Amino acid sequence: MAETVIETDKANLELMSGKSMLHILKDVTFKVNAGEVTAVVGPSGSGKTSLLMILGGLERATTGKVVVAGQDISTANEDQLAIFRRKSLGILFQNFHLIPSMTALENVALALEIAEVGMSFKQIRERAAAALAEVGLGDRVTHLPSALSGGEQQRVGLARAMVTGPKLMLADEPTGNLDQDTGAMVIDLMFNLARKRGAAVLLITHDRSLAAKADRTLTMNHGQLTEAAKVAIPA
Amino acid sequence: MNRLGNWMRVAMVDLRGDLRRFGILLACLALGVGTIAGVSSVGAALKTAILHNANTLLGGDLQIARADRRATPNELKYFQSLGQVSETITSNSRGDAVDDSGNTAFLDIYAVDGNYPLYGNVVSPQLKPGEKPTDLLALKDGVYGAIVDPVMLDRLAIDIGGHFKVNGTEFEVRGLLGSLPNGALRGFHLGLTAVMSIEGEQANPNTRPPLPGLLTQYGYKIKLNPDLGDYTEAQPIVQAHLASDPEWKVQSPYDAAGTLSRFYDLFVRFLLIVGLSSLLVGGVGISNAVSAYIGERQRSIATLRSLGATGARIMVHFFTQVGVMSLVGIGLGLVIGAVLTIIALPILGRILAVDLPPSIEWPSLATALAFGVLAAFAFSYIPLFRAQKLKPAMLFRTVGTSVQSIKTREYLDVRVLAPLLISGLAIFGLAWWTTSDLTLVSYYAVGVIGAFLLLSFAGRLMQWVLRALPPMPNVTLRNAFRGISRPGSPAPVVIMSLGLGLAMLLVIVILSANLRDQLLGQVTNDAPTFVATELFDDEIVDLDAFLKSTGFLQDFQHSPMIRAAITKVNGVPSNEILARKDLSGEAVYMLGGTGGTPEILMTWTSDLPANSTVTAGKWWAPDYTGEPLISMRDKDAQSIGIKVGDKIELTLFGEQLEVTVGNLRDFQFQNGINFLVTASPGTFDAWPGTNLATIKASKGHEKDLERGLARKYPDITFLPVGEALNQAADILGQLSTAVNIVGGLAVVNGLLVLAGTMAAGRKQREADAVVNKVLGSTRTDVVKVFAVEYALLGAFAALLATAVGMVGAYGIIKGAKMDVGFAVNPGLVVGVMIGAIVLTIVTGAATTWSALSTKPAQYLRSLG
Repeated sequence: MAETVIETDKANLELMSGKSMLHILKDVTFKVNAGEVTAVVGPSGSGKTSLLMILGGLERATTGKVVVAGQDISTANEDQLAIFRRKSLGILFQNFHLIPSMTALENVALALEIAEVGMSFKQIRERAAAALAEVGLGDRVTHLPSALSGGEQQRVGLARAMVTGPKLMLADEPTGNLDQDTGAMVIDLMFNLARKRGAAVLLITHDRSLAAKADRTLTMNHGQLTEAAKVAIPA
Repeated sequence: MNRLGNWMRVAMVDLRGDLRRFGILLACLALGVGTIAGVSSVGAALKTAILHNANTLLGGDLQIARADRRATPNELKYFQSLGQVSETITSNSRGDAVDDSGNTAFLDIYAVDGNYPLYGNVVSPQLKPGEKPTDLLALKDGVYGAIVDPVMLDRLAIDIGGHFKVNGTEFEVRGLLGSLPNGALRGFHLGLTAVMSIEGEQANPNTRPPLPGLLTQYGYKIKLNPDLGDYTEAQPIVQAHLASDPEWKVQSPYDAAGTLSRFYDLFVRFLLIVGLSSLLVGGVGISNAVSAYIGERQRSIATLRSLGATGARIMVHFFTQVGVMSLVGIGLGLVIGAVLTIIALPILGRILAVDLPPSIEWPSLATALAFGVLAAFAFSYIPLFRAQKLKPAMLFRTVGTSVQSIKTREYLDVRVLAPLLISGLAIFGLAWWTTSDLTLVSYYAVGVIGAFLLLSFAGRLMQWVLRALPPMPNVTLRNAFRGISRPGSPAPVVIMSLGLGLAMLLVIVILSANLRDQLLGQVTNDAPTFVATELFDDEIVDLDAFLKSTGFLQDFQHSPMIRAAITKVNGVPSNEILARKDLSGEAVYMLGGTGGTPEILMTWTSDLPANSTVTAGKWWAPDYTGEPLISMRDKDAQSIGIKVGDKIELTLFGEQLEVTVGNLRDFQFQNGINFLVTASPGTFDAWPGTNLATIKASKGHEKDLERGLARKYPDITFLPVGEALNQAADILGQLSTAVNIVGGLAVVNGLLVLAGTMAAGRKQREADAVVNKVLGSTRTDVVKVFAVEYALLGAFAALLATAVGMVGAYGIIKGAKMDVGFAVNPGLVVGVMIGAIVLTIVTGAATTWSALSTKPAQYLRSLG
């Protein structure tokens, strides 16, 4: 039986907005297994990104339980969360968020350096170069982000997210800033890499055609998560 | 260590491409550290030079001197038993042209014997290096030689080889004086220096100093025999030998150099404090620059956090970056300081007549380095602390460029408070160690902390008040108010940086203005051109008529005068009182303790002298005929411990007279002629009095009048007071220039900070301008809003700076017990206000010009 990577139990998130309290996530309960690719769809403001944040330990659930990669992150402190992220998590952002002063290679190597994987500097660079080659950027290692196209930047982001071998890959609208073809290519690449490595993927998207490529799709509506029926994609 | 090394290596990689963001930080640190390094190095070099060359500066290993006479043959024999002796006589006299032109110059006579100088060289184009001046000064063809200040040639309209007369003795100019080896220790001297032989100076011994206090000094410089050891061993022996005659003063090189060194020490200490202020003003720039940098790197910080970096790693990452850039700035400052020192020392050496070869003062550079490191740490710590608290969740939300500030209660967190306290205390300790003046540094620390708190609080108060005000009917004003009070507005930082810079400027300008105006400025305007003493009544009548006939006279005044000594106070001999160490300089002079004759000038009058106020007792009635009363200057009486009703014994013409202190007065000499002791009418009737005359020449005719007086009254010395004051004003001017240059650097640092702050707010300005333009505002509308906003900020900062500057200057004047009043020229304050407003608008315009010219479409597309 596949290992459970995400397990939430009645997770709630409440945030203050001015003087009023907003109930962002309401009793979210779901599981994702290793190697499973899950898409979360829903309208803007429904709570998709907030879900991603509590799963990544970037925001703390107000109540309920959140266990990721076997660790209960709803009670962890900041430093424990940092260690959790470096060991178990890879995140792909809509805006790529590469460090502008670092080359593609250095951006990918940074994840390994922070993860403190016990490798020498040379080994780190070799592994980062291999990760870039895997996403088709073997010839762009010395380029700064400003010299790369959007698709290339997102592939560097993908290499950075995957290079530490995370158990869970969180992707927040990763194709939001890319054209359709490039977006599709990045998604395929991500799914293939995740499946190859047995990592779970949680993809936040508006794009139902991308969601259709996932193993399962969840719908977020007014902070509540429901299993969505498979939608037929018109050819 | 390996882990820390890796963290730091990654930080260095990440620093790539960000160097230009540190421009303001580099400039602020370089300027502040450079100023401290330069000032401290020059001070240290000066001190070392003075102490190392003390023998040369004194002119011997020991100097034995007195003011009333030359040594007797027996005394001279004793001096010669100690080693090689060089005799010098210092006095003042008038030098006149030998023709009937009436050209004259007041001279500082330096008469020397054949052994002079024992150490060092007299510098003159007419002397070979190392050559003694004996030959040039010798009697040749019945005329003595002289080496003179080149200015004297112009005054007397003669050339080298020309002749002039001093006290009836004729001299030939045989050399032009560059410098005397002991010039620096001679300090301020009245008149143009003329070096001559003792034989020449003594050719007419019947001369008298024109005013008490202008002393003749008979000095014997001694190059000690080797068997006597150095001065530390010889000085007590000589002092013991001469103990029976207290008029002999024995001075070692250390005594003499120590006085000079202490004077420069005090001056350098003051400059160091100004330099430290420059660094602290720059500290605001450091803090702003690091804050702006962290603000711009928020997304990178969040990315690092999302990749699993801990708060500690974030701290090390950015601490490394800021640390490296700070070290670069500090390094630049040290280079600037060292280069400036190398350039300044020889120039300063020429001015001060001290041999100051270019040198690098490593301990001073180390001090500046320590100040730089501590200031960089203290001012960048809070923004760095904020960086580590940044949450990665912001990567998923829209944020501006400003970093969330630390809440007030978070300052109480030991992780914030402890490093700040430690670095603050370290700066305090270092300043104390460097200046060796705990009081000065304590007052300074209180002032600086007070200024920081006041400016910080005032900026926020201004925002709060503007927010609380009802909306202005005028749209420009409304938008300008909003610009200042909106969250993230640079207003508090602008007020802090501009306020600190201006406050510093004001402290320096107010101090300079008070010192110059109150000590010299008014005097040089109102003081007489000449003073003459001991004029008989018929001479006064004659002089009055002559002066009126010249057409060069602006004012002529005279008062009766008599020379008398205060010999007892309430039965206690003045000599005993003079043994006290707590007497003020003026009190010592009044009791005749400055050497030479103990007599001072006194006067009598029935009317209260102009510009003086009775502070104790009552002024005598105009027809008073009772027991002799005197009026004294209150601060001198206070120093000695004299009260109204006390009995004073005066000695004049060998007789004693007991007088009673009738009242005490407060007056400033610069406000008019005032005598230290003024007696009631009839007090001195039993003795022959003379007159003191003051003459003020009409502007531009001082020399004409001087020539006329010299021709008409060849036997009367008219002391050129105006010229002396101008000389003193020049010296003070040179010191002020040094202070102004160093203070100017502090102001430049304030401007850098201001420019940095404005530049940091550029993006927000662009956004504001675009929104306004999209909504239909013209460029003029936008400019008007910015101008009003900047003008308000500038005016408010100037107002606060004026308050801080005035309190600071007042504190220094009172704290340092400077004998000057405190006045602030309203024109100066208005000037600073207008300057600050213009400066803020210009700096604002220069740094946000792009915002004014940004086209909405271009900006909006760039956001896309």
